[in-house]
Order: sequence, then structure tokens, then C-alpha cells
Amino acid sequence: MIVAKNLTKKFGEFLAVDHLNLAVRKGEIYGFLGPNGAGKTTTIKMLTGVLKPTEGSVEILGMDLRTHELEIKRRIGVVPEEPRLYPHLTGQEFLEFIIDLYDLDRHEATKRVVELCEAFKVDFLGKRIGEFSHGMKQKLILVSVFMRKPEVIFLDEPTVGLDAKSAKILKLLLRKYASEGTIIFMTTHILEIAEKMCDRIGIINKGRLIAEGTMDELRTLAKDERATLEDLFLQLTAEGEDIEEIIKEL
Amino acid sequence: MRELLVLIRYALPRRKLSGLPGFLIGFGLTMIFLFVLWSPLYRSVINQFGYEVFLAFFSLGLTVFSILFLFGYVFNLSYSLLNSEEIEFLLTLPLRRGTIALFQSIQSAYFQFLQFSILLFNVSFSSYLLRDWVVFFTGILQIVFLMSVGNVLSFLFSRTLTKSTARIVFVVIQLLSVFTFLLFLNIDLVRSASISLRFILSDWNLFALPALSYKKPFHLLTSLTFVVFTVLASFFVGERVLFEPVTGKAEKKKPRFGFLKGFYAKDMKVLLREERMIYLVFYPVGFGIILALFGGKDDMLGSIMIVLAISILYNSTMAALLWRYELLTWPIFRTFPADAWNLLKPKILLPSLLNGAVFLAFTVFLTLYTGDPLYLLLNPFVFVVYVLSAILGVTFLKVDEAAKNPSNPARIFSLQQILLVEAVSMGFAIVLFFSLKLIREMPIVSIVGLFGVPITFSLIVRALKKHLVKRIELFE
Repeated sequence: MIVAKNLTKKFGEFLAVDHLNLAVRKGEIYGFLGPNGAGKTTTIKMLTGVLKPTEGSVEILGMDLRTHELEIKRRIGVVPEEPRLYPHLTGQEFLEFIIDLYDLDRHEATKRVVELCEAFKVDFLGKRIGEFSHGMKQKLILVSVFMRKPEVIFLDEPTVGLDAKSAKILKLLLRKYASEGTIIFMTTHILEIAEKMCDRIGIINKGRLIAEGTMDELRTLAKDERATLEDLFLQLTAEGEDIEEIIKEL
Repeated sequence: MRELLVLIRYALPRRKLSGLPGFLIGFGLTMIFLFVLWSPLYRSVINQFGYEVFLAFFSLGLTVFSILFLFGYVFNLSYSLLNSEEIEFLLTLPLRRGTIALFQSIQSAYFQFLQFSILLFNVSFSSYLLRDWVVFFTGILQIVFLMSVGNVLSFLFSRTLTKSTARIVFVVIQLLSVFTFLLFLNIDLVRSASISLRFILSDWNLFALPALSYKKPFHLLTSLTFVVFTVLASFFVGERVLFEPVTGKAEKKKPRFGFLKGFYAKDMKVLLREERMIYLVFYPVGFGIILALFGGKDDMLGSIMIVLAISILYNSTMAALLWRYELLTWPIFRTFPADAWNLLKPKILLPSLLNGAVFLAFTVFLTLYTGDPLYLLLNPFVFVVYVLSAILGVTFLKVDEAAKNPSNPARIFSLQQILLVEAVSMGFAIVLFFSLKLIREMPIVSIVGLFGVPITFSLIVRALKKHLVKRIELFE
């Protein structure tokens, strides 16, 4: 499970995440949505140990992140929004770096890499990462995470930069992993993806979790049984009411 | 330890001559250079003035370069610890914070190569001259002590300094190191020795312990104690590094250089925010002032030519740098209502004006120092040379390579291009200077030179302008 209790992050005087409480269960795909600057990436960074919370605690797979940081990091996978990888390494060398660092069985890992590269059409491992496009980097980081079969996967805007086929494969793969018990925590701005893929959705705005639940639960909360996720999102983040006015003024 | 080795193997930036062999060759060459440059000085101090003065001289060098090493190391490491993209990625991996901090400290030590080499030379050659191994071992411990103290301070500073402050201080320290190195070459030995005897060769000066250990060998143990204590402290603090940026208060600033508009305003900001700019602008003139001060008042031509030789290259580097930043955002320029020459002009004029202003200050210094106002006459001609070198800089930067290879923005020119910039620009400078110098003795030759240069210059600029504009228009 992923459990966050009163998770808070301040940057100077700016409150980025404000006493956030979360619980994501085994085998669940949890979509974490919010407008730009709402605190999604900061939350993911705190959940993955990149940032230290100003207040509150994180528990992953039953372990406290403060006391078991390394053990947790060995068992999770992180796909950042913008993968910044070592430009002087080739794709192959980067995967070897990950294999060495996680002390993986080289034979097993290589077998997985071959399968994943075939699925995502990765045929550029011999090239230097400095020459990769965003999509190529995204595919490489996905291969490097999936080859380890982590128990929890965090993905920040995972479909950005991917072609339609790779995006489809990614979605199916995540669903398959979830059915095998993996916890998937993802952010996305593409609300259709969240609506179709996620078992539960959390909406964050100005650092606070303002709504959480299944699509049906969110509809009940918004008192609109036929609403799409886009309608609900705009209504809950109070960004819907001004749109027509804005368009008129423009 | 295994994680650190994996990081060193994969994550250190690779150069053509990489790894341990590359480092050892570079280190060996530096030590040979220092030996050739300084060993006669060291020998003459010990032979002419005896052991007392030599110890003072040794401790002065130790103190000055230890402080410079420590400062440079601390500010470079503090900068690198402030949540770079690389660290953010490393933090998602199962790596101890202490391992990441240690990996960063290894990279920072690499940037202190000059100070590190000087310290090691100072310690090893002095211990050889003193025939005392205790001095050598205390010196080695001194370097470990400096690095571990540096680690502790950096880990603490990384919680309080903003990234840009750390970087600016680091560049200033680098600049000070080079000037101190030059001053050390020209120092008045007897005077400095007497100063250092009084203030530097004292038991309270932690930086001079290797020199002190010559007479008091127990300082080897003092050093060892400091090392044990500071290494443990650096491990303790290293595990607690946050790797988070320090956010300064966002104040509303009045726009500087409000008279500049469009590409000029944008490029001026790029220039002033470029971290190497302090070095590029002030190093040549600082170097020239030191040469002028130690070279006597009779002939300043040598120091002027050296200032020009360095600043011409830096001027073309700055122009190329601006052009490279433009190419990194290519093809956004294509969407603007501006032509290629509008885009290029600020890249050529802004570095030239900046360097021209600094050169003007240098000639004012020379005028005040020598009492000869003729140096001021050089300024318009030097500005012309700067403009030419900037055009060459922009021309030599291959558009397609720069746009495709943004991963190494520090490397601007190849050796051939550097030589060509120097040859063409210095050629013009020399013709102009000699035309001015010979104006009384050979007026006809001088007039040909003084008029010939601007005419040739304008023809070259015209040809290069046409070439550059065409190249930009064709570039996709």
C-alpha cells in the first residue's frame, strides 16, 4: 500500500502541498489529477523520496519512508515527467548502469529488456542518450523500470511524447501489472486516459486533495450522474464556470 | 562503496581521454609544469635564506592555496548539491544520500584541479627539500582534512545558499586563484617571509600544519586527529543532505538596461546570467594589470598584447555562446518578424561593447599608472578588433552541429578555430599598434596601416555578413 499522512511541503513561504492524506491499495491504478502547479509532481517527489516532506509521513509496502528509504527505493519504479538521463551514455549502457545499481540478475534482466524493447519498438539502444528525442528517452526509462518488475510504479505524465501504439501498449501493460498486484500511481493531464484506466482518482488543487474516489463516487460528489471526468474536474477545481466568460472576452 | 563505484563508472562525464589514465596524464603534466616553474624558486629560497625563511615561505603557500582550495571546493560543491536534474534522478534510485553527496564531492574536487596540484606540489617538493617524510604525510592529511571540512561546510551551505550565489562566488574564487598564482610567482620573498613569520607560522594556523610539523613532528598526530574528526562529521552530515533548492524571496526588480530592446535586451540578459561571464570579462584585464604592475612602467605593450590576445578569444567565445543559445531554441526565431541580420547584430555588438568597456577601464588604469594618456587612443581600434573577433566567433560555430549537440555547451571552439580567431584578430591588432607607434618615424607606412585596416575590415565584415545571413536563411 501507499499511505501518506498529513503530507506537507513548503518551499520558503510557498505551501506546495498542504496536509495531504492518501491510501492506495495493492493492485490499484490510482490517477492523481490537478491543474498546473497544483502540487502533483511535488507529491510524487515526496512519495518517492526525492523531496523530504516538511511535515507528515509516507508509508510504502508497509515501510516508513524515513527509516526504510533504500529498501523502498529498491522495490519501486519511478517514471518522471521529463526523463533527464546521462547524455554521454548509450541506451544500452544506461540499462547496464541500472542493472549494476539494483544488482539484478543480468541474464533475467537482459531477457526482459529484449521483450520490452520489442514491445515498445526500441531499436536505438546503441545510440547516445544525448541524441534521443523526448519519446525515445521516455521509452528507455519505461524499459529500465519495467525490466525490474517493481511492486509499486509511480508515473508522472507517462504518455507524453509516446506514439499512439506505444501509449496503448503502456496502458495495457499497466493494467496487466495491476491485475498481478502491482500498485500504479500516475498523474496525467489527459482526462480520458484517467477515466478509462484508473480504479480511483484523486484531485489536488492548490496543494489540497479536494476529491477522491471512483468515477461513480466523484459523480455523486458532484451531484451529476452523467458527468465526464472533464466536467467533474473543471467543476471541482472551480475552473469551469469562467471558461465561457473568458472565451467571450477573447 | 559498490554504489559509488557504479556511479563513478557510468555517471562521470566522459571525455576523449577519460577515466584514470586521462586524469593521471593531466595530473602528471601539471606537476611537471609546476616543477619547471617553481622548483628554482623553492631551491633559491632554501639556499639563499635558510630553513627559517623557507618554512615561512612554505607555510604562506600552504595557507593561501589551502584557503583558495577550500573556498572553491565548498562553493562548487554547494552549487552541485542544489537539486540538479542529475541528483533528482539519482534520488529515485536506491542510493544512500551520503553516496550521492560523496559522488558530487569527487566531481567538485576535479574542478579544483589547479589548487589541488599546487598544494600537492608544495607539500611534496618542500618535504623533499627538507628531507622530512613527516612533512609529506602531514601534507597529505592536510588535503584530506581540507576535503572533509569542505564537505561538511558545503552540506551545511547547501541548505542556505541559492544556486546562483554559490556559482558566482565559485567563479570569483577561481579568478582569485589564478591571480594569487601569478602574484605568488612575483612575490617579494623577504618581505612576505617576514610577514608570514609573524602571522602565518603559528601553532594556531591549521593550514600550516605540514610546515609546522618539521620542527614539531607531533603535528602529524594533530592532523590525523582533525582528519578522523572531520571525515566522521562529513559522513554524518552527508546522510542528511536535502538536495533541495533554496528559494530566495521573489522581489519585483526594476528592469536593468531598459534602453535595450528586443534581441539586444534578451541577449544582454543571457550574457549577464551566464555563469562564466565574470571570468571571461575580468580575467584578461586582471592578468594584464598584474603584468603591468610587475613588469615596470617603461613598456606596457607586452601586457596590452597579452590582454588583447586573451580577450579577443573570450570575446569571440561570448559571441559564439550567444549564438549557440539562440540555436538551442531553433526554430522559434523563424516565427518572429525579424531577419537574420537583426538576430546576429546583438551577438556581435554586445560582447564587443562589454569587452570594449573593460579595455577602456584598463587603458584608464595604464594612463593613471604611467601618466601617458596615449593609451586611451587605442580604444576605438581595439573595439574594431573585438567586433571582428565576434564575427569570426559566430562564423566558426557550426550551425548544424551546435543545434544538434546541446549536451556540451561549454565546448565552443576547436583548437584550429581558436588559432584562426587569434591569428586574424591579432594580425589586425598588431598592424594597428605598429601604425600608431611608427606615426612619427614612418608616417606613410602608418597612414597605409591606419586606413588599410578599416577598409580590409569592412570588406571582411561585408563578406562574412553575407555568408552568415545566407547560412541562417538556409538552415532548417
